[in-house]
Amino acid sequence: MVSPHGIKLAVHLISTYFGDLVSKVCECLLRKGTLSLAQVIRYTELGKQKVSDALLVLIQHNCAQSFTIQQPGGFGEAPKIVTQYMALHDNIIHHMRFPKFLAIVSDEFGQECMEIFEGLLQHGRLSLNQILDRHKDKHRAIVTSGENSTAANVVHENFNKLAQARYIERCHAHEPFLAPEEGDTPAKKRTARSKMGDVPQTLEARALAAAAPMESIRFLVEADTWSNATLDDDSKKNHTTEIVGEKRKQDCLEPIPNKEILWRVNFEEFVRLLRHKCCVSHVTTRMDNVVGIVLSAIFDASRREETKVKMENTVPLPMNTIFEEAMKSEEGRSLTLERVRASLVQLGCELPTLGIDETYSVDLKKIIDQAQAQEVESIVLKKYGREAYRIFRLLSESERLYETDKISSTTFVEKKDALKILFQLWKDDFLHMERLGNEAQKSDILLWKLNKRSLWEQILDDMYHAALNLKLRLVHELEQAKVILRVLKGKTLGDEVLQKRKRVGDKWKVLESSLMILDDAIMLFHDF
Amino acid sequence: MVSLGPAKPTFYCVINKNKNANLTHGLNPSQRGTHGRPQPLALRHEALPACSGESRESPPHRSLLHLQPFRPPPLQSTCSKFIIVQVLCLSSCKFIRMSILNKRKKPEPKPGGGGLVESDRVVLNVIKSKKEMAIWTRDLKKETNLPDPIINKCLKNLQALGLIKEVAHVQMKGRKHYIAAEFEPSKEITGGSWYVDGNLDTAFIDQLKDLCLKIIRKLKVATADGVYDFFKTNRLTNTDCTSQQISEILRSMVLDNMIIDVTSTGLGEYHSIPIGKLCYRCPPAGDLSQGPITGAMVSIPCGVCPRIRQCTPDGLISPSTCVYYTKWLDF
Repeated sequence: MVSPHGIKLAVHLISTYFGDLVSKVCECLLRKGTLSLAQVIRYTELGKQKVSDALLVLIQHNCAQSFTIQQPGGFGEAPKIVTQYMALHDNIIHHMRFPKFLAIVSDEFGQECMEIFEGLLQHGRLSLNQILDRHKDKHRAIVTSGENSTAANVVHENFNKLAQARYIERCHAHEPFLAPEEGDTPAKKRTARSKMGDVPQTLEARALAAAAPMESIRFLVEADTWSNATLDDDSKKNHTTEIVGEKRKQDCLEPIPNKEILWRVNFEEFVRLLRHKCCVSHVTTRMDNVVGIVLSAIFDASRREETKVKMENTVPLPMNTIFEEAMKSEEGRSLTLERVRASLVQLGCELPTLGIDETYSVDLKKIIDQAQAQEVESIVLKKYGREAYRIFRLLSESERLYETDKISSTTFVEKKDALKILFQLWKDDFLHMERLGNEAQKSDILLWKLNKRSLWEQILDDMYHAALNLKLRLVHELEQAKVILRVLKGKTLGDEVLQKRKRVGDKWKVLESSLMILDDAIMLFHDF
Repeated sequence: MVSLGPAKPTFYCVINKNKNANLTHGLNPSQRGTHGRPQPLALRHEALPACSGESRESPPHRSLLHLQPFRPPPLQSTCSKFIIVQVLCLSSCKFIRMSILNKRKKPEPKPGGGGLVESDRVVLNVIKSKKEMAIWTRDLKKETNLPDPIINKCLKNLQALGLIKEVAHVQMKGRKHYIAAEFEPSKEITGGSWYVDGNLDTAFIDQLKDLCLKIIRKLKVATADGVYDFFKTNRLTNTDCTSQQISEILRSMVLDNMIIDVTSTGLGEYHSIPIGKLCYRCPPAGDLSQGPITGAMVSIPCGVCPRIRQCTPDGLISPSTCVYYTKWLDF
């Protein structure tokens, strides 16, 4: 379930990138959940054509997923196959992170790879041919006809690099069919054990699983290349004359005769990478550099073996592998085996009693939890002061009920002040309070508890709210600046004007960089 | 209540003493015979107003307690009756004179409770019965069933005699609590070792925190016992600190993020500490007590905004009209 401000932010992003019409359809899907085309039309009160166009845009940019299900027909009618649409909130929010993803690719593979990647971000999904065409269009002035083939090879090579690094992947199936679940059929009754054992998957999760390409072909470029190689030159020429956006529309609306494989950005890999960075940065700050180097080495060594983003523990690795990987980095060259071992212990690994099978696995969940707690603590410190910070840290250590007196005595805060702080935190939904009647003292004993789960959800919602506010303020500032710039257009710029412009630029920088930092925190609470 | 011992209200003692001097040759009323007549009792009633105004205010149970049967020996003849009437007349004059003297001169209460009046004694006993828990004046009133002025007087007397003392209750500072002099107030009353006169001794706590931080910086890694030993061997404070106090201080410093608690690995810096033992060290990135550097929310106005719940894009409070934003972006 997406938080209220999460939806608002997503709608704002869609509105900024694709306009109000698409954002209206998107909001409808985000608020109402999975819907059929007819339902979307009914709720949005828009025309059929407009709604289908909006849905196509959303699908093109990986912000929505369609799937078909079988619905029972009316009395005496055959079951119907209905297409359903669901909005992908996470992918919509990823649009805000495109500059980060671009920077990662640019740092790792350079400018040319970044151009390919940029195309995929801009258009949502593209085939290899479309990427080649885009490259040709961009470098038409520079590249002569003789160099075309070489350029194509370079693009192909770069594309391969991106696929190998898993930064791009094959697109999900457009409209997978979801067969009715076993539980849906009344003939087969589910046993009590099976009901208790496995949590039933939501329809949306089943649809995503069905749409995802098989792991073996997810990053496979060869098949794509071979199929593309068989394409006629004519078809290639046709493609080059078209504008990418136009063709994309055609791709979506009309069946493609020689089905090209479409590629898109693999957000999952970026989230994983950023999660690793966050963990390394946290342990480096909390412990020391060497621990950071060792953890980074563990991530590098096990990058291919991670099966999902939110891995609770790292893949168990033997000591030698970790040590060799650590030695590869410049900072890690001077490390000794003993120092690496001590760092692993600092990371919470237990030393094996027998030295034969020395494998280590780091508890990543603990590191993420610590980083999340640190973020919330910083808010408490700034908002409520040092004493509240101490009280909050005490309550967050173990999620159990604490009596006011106990809190007061442990944190060295006068009871009266402690009570005041606790009430303030409770009023702002940071704490949970319980009253315990006491007949002897004829007064209630107050017990306090920190409910991390609900508080963390609330903090995440506040973060979405703050991100939306930053975006809106940025729009407001630029709007204000636009007025100033319009008045001054065509005139020579004096010192005062230049200064004003600089000030607007500074504001823009502050707001943008704050948004990027805040986005890291959003990822910490939502994606990691 | 009956076992109050020899000390009885002064005026009764005076009356009895005088009457006894003439009629019973110094015998106590309780030591006299069982035969009695109403006359002496009537005499006593006449004498009471002259003795002291307090006697009328005494609660009934107390009167009952002290109106011991007064029974003079049986009289044998009319002659003796006449003599007795004369004697009584004389004695009553003498009694009145003496009672006036007695009223002026209040007997000095003896230390140890020997010279206490009845109400003092009752109050003292109730206070004593509470031991180190002390008693609130309101509760004292309830338990003794005495009126406020008497209680106040008793408390004043007892305090003057050094039999009781007033203590500040850490949780109910406005309520007067009393404790018997021989007891020390309990931890619930004083708030424990960190409280002085019902107030948190912040100066002492801060001083200890500073010292602990310096010790940990010096030792790099130390257990609570290690820090305590350092304190003891170097005699760093004038006041005595217990190991428990040091542990409490260290725990609060961890909550303050001034130091971090780690489990000893037995390797490197931890070589002198047994494996698995809780120890303390300074954070590697210096003092973390100023909060995390990467606090994303706190670096923007919305993170600490008290009106974030009322903020909407088109509302009265909105990001475009926000004063905090304006202030933040004013450079």
